[in-house]
Amino acid sequence: MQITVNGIKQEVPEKASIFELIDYCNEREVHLVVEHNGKFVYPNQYETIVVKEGDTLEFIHPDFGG
Amino acid sequence: MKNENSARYKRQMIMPEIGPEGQERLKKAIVFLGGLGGLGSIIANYLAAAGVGNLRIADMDRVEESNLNRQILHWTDDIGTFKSYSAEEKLRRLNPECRIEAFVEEIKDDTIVDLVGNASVIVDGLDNLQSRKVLNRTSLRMGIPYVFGGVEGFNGMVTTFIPGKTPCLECLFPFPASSEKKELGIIGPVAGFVASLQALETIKIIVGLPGVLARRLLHIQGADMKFREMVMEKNADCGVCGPGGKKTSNGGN
Repeated sequence: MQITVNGIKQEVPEKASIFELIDYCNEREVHLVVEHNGKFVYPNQYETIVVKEGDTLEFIHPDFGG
Repeated sequence: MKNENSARYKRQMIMPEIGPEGQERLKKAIVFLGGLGGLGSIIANYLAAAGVGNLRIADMDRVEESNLNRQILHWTDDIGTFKSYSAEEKLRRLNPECRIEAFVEEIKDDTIVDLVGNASVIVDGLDNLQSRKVLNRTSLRMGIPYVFGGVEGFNGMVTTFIPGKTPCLECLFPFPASSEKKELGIIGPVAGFVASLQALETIKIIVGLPGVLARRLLHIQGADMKFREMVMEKNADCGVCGPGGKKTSNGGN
């Protein structure tokens, strides 16, 4: 199915969870910030949230400097 | 109620959202600021300028030359001085009405209670996740807001955590922080826009204004000026602020 990841439309496996898509997109940041359809996704939700056709995902590396 | 120094604060007191009553609240407020680097310098500067009556500021580092591209409270002659004292001197000169208590201390579980004292807001000027988790737990224990901010390169993030009303820092970042200290790239205006937002959030909290970034995480990409607002729902399963959570836990650290 097609979703938008970091602003780019791409094909991803059907019924993929956020957890699977993090791996699929090679995201390795431990403190990754994930936004799904405008909402922040908590790490404890990664395995239970499944994306659908047309969804948008953003993977953001956090900023901890100051 | 006339503020005795109306001239200094005139331009903000004529704003209906602030007025003399808001100014009086700022004067009575006690704010704790952890970190006096890129974020902390700017936050402290704006809070003192706005008339926050009491600032408790803490940083354990000394000023280095590489700080000077962004840490506006520290100047060339301050290289080698403790940041807390360098900041204290500038803030007193900026606004003698602001009571400054400056601490040369690391932000740790066993120092934070004395550092925060009677503050009603905790503001983040730190440069690592581990110390931020200390601020987060303190915010939860004391039941006071924690204004979070962070920067790297062209990017930054801001939100306000309010115990009982919003998620907490460890809802977002539950995993242990790395103890590795990396030298991150950062340019002044990026610290500027994040810290300015944090200062504004703090003023709004003190004055009692709506529109605080509760349950919203703002992410800013300075390279292409993209501003993203992420809605954050409550996280019932948080190991720190959730029903079964331990506010005194060390969050994995």
